[in-house]
Amino acid sequence: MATTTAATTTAAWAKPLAIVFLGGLNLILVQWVLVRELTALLMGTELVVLLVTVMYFLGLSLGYLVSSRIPARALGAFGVITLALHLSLPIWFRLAAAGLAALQAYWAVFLLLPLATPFLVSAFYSIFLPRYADQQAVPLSTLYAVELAGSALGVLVLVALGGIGLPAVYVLYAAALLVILALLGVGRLRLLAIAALCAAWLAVFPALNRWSNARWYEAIHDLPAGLETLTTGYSAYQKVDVLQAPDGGRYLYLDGLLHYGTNRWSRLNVIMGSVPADLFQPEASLVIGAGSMEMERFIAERGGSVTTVELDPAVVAASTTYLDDANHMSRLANRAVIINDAKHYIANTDARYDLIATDVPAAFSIQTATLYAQPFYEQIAERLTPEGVLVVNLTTRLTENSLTARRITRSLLEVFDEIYVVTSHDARLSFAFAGDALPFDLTALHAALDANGEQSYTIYSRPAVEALVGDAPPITLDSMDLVLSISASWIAGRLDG
Amino acid sequence: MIEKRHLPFAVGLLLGVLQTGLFFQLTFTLSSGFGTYLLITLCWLSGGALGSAFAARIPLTLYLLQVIMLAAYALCGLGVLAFPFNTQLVPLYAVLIGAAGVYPGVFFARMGARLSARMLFFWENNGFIVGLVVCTFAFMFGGRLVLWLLPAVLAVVVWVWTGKENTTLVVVE
Repeated sequence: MATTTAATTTAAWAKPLAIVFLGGLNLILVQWVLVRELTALLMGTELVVLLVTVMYFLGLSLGYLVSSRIPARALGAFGVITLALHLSLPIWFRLAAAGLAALQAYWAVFLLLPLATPFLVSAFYSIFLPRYADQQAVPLSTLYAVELAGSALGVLVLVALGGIGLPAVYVLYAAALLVILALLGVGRLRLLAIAALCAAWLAVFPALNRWSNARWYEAIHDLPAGLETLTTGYSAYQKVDVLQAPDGGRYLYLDGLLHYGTNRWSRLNVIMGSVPADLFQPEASLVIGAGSMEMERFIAERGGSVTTVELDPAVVAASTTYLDDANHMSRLANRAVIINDAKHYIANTDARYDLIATDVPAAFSIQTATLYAQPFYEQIAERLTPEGVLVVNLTTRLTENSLTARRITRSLLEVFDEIYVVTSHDARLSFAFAGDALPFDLTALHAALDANGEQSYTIYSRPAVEALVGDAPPITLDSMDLVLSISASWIAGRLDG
Repeated sequence: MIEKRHLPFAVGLLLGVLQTGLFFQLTFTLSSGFGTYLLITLCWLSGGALGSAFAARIPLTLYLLQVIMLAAYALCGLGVLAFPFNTQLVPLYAVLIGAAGVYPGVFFARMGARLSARMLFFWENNGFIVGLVVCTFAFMFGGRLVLWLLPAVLAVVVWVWTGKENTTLVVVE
C-alpha cells in the first residue's frame, strides 16, 4: 500500500518537476541570448546592462503575478509563441532596431526593446513554479530546489556549448521547450509539426543570423551597403563581430562598439605601438586587451617579445582568424597571448616589462573603468622595469572640459613621476606616456611622432598636464560615478543621432 | 503592523544587494574572469537548492541562517581584501557562497507555508530587482563602503520583520 502511494506521488510530481526543471534551464539560456544581443544592440554600457537585466527580472515578476490566472489550455499556446519568439529573437531585435533607425527613430529602440523584454522573454518560464506550488501539486520546497538545479545545469550548458555558438545552444533550448510543450499536453501531431519547423529554422538560422547582423551594422553604424558578417558570436563576456565591407575593409566590434576598422583606430595603434617601440626599443612588452592586435604587430615588428593579456578568448580567436592582415599573427614568432584577467595576471606574474600599453575599451562599464583606476596603475608600476613606460589611451582629448580624460590622467599622475600627453588631432584622442624615469625626452618624442606619420598633434609635459587636469580626482574603486556619466552621455549621444 | 509581503520584499532586497556586492568584490580583487561568475552563480544556486530541498530537516532558525549568510558574505569580502587575486582561495569562497545561498532556499520553503507562492516569489523578486539597482548606483557614488553598509542595514530590517516567522519548522505535506 505504501509502495503504491509512493509510486502515485512520483507519477503525479514528475510532470510539474520536469517542467520546472526545464524552465530553470531555459531561463538561463534565454537570459544569455537576451543580455548579449540587447546589450550589443543598445551598445553595451553599464546603464544598458543594468536596464536589460532589470527588464529580464521584471518579466519573472510578471510571470509570478499571472501564474494562477492563466487558463491551463492557454499555456501550450503561450509556449509555442515563446518558442517562435525566442528562436528568432536576435534576428527580429536587429531588424526592428535597423528599421527604427531608418525611420530616424533609433531612440525608440532604447524604449521599445527593453519594454518588450518582460512580456516576451522571461515571463513564460516563471509561471510554473508558483502555479504548481499554489495548486499544491508538489511542495514548494521541492519545486524550488528542482528549478535551481535546472538553472545550475543551464549555467553548465553555457560553459560546455557557449563556445560552440548560438545555434548549438538553440538546439538544446528548443528541445527543452518542446518537451515542456509535450508535458503541457500539446498534441503529438502538432508537436511533430512544431519540431519540424524548429529544425528547418535552425538549419537556416546561421545564414539569417549573419545577414541580419550585417543589416543592423549598416543601419546603425553607417557602414557601406553590401556589408558581410565574417563571424558573429556571444562569448562569456560580450558579443564579438567581425564584418567586411565590399572594398575588403574589416571591422571588429565588441558589444556593438567599434574596436578596429577606421583610420582613427589605426592611428591609435601607431601612436601606442610604433611610437614607443621606435623611441626605446623595448625588449619585453605587454599589451593589455587584444582587440585587433595591430598594436602588438607594430611593436613586434620592431623587435623584442610582445605578450598580449586578454580576458576573452573569443576576441583573440576572431582577431587571429579574420584580422591577420592587421596583426600578422601568422607571421610574427615573437608574440604570445595569455588568456587571463589583466588585474589578476599583473598581480600574479613575476615578469617585468619595458613597455606596457593598455588597449582596453573606454570606461563604459564598472569592470572596464577599473582598468583606468589608480589601483590598477599602481599594480602596473610594480611590473615595469626602472625605465619602463606605460602608454594609455585617455579615450577622449585631454582638455579642461573632458572630465574622463582628466580623471584618467590624474590617476596616472598619482602613481608616476614623469608623464607626457600627446593629443592626436587626426585620431581625436589623447595618449599618456607615463613612467618613473622615461627613457626619452620631448625632442625624441616629437621625432618619433613625425617619423610615424603623425601630422597634427600637441605634446603636453607634466606641468601643462597638471594644469589641464586641475582638481579632477583620480578614478578609484570608491569613485566609479564616472561610469554613470559616461554611460548616460553615450546613450544621450546615440539618441541625438 | 508588518504585512506579509514586506518580509519577502525585504529579503529580496537583501539578496539583491548581497549578490551584487559579492559580484563587485570578487571581480575587483579576485578575477573578473568567467570563472568568478560561475563561482558565484553555481555555488549560490547549489546552496539554495540544498537549503530548499532539506529545509524541513535543517534544525536552524531563519535568524541563525541569516547570520551564517552575512558572515559568509563578510568573510568573502575580507578574504579578497586580505589576499587579493589569490585564486588558491577559490574553494574557500565556493563553500562560503554556497553557505550563503542556503538561507534563501530555506526562506522560500518555510515562507511558502504562510504565503501563496505567487505572492512570495513576486515580492521577493521585486525586492531583488530594487536591491540590484540600488546596490549598483549606491556603489558608483559611495564606493566599497556601500557594499558593507547596505547589507548591514537591510539585515537589521529583515531581522526585525522576520519576527514570528523565525521558526525551524516547515509545513510538510
